[in-house]
Amino acid sequence: MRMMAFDVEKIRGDFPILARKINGKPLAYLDNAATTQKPLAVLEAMRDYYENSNANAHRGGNALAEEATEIYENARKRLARFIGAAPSEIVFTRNATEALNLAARFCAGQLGAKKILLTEMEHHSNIVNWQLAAKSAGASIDYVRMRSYGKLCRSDFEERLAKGPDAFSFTHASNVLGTVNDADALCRLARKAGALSVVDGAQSVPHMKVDMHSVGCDFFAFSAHKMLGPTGLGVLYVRKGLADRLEPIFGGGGAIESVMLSGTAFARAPQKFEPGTQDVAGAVGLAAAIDCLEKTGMGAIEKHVAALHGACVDGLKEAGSVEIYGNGRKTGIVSFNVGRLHAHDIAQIASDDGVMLRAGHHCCQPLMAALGAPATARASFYLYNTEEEAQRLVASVKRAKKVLS
Amino acid sequence: MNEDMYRENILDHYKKPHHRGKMRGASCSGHAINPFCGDDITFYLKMRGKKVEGASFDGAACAICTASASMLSDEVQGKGAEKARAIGKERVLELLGVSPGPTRLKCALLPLKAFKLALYSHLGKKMGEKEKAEIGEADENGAEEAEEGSANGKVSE
Repeated sequence: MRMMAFDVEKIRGDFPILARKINGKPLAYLDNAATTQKPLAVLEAMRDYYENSNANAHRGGNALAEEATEIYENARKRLARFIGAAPSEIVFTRNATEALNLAARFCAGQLGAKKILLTEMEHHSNIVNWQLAAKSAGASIDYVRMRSYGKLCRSDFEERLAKGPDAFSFTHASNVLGTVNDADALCRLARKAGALSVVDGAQSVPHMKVDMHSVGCDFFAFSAHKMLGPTGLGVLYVRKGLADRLEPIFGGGGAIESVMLSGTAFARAPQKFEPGTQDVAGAVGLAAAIDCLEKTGMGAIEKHVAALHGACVDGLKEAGSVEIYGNGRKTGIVSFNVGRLHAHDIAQIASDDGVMLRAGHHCCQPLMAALGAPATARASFYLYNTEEEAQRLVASVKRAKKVLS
Repeated sequence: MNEDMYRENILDHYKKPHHRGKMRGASCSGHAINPFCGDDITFYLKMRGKKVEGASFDGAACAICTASASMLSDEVQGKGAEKARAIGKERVLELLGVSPGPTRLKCALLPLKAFKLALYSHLGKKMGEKEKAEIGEADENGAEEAEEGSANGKVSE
């Protein structure tokens, strides 16, 4: 049953791209875990900024620069409110990957982490960053194992945590399985064990209400483009006590208090972590995206997405010989394989029908190895998707079965 | 672009691939993977002097890649090493009869890569830059990847 307030047709009207045709078929965009579409409100807010207020934020005392600074900082405040953080805890980056790289370098560098604990469930962007940071710091990495049905193994986590890692990093929600890890509990246990905690929230923040204080982590990363915002902007939350202590990794203009030839006094957080001209328009777009999400309601979005997930899973099961991995109800991810067909062929045939899926290892080779599948096809839903689109996916899967076997 | 990707000849080879399976007593083999989609092909060759006496392939791959491997295994049978070496991207696409987009092009050319790695390891020669670029052409770092891949070519004693 759909909530009164949730009018998917009205929502779709705000996304011009959804009226597009692909191969002569109406576009069914089911690749939202990769990136989401942008509503007019986001595009207009960014355009309005460039048309009317563009200047270099945090530079110069002219009236326009001050206006741009205010707009930029208001966007930071808007975001801080959305995730229950203080504005000074929000660092803007290029994307979630850069945010996770920074977090890894802070931990293995200045914070002296020598033993790092990750999980098998991670996206490559939360493995490779640690491997690089660990290599230059001479740190070691251990991995929490995953059950073949796609959940972290609790006893394995506790065993490895008992070995005393200095930092623990994990994905809040899997981009392959949609499985949601209990971030609050994991961070609490890590803290109790004396480990820093770093959360990859790229797949969780777009889909559920996430509050930094209840998560209780030291670092938290996500990106704007997976939650209706523009590409090119990521976020690193840095807990206040740490943000004050840490020195920036990249230096440059705007991040300083004063520069002498003998050394530099850095600005306060978060400015000290944001050297160089910032993506003000991107921040404006993200703030507008948050407005859109909250207008619809995170709870309502979660419900709608869960209903689509359910319809999709039911349809695929009915189609027969479909294996579904994990349980991506909350984040709307359905990762699957069909008999012995290759995921690439499924995605290609669906694409020919106008249905956009992703096929492959989803930048998660260790996770795929744990699943025992080299590739899966993945559908991922968001607030503007419809049950009809889920049915079209099922129809494409049936067609693929017919064509290929 | 894509509508005729799954045409009759491709589906025939996909559903009933020719020369599929590991070859016993192969003279050499070549292994190539497409990390993007997980396609994984090993090509086996039985050489008599400078002639390809037999060819087979094994692995897990999508329809385009499987069909391409099957067709290529037909194509190289009985060919002299020099003639076999001259088979390139154009010939593979001609056999398939489609012109895939950049993503599927990698699938289509993966068997050629595995085949060439096998052949070159047998000949004990290095692949030319141009040829390397061609088999990895759709990759961002085509030449480098091909070079890396050549470590996977094996000559059986």
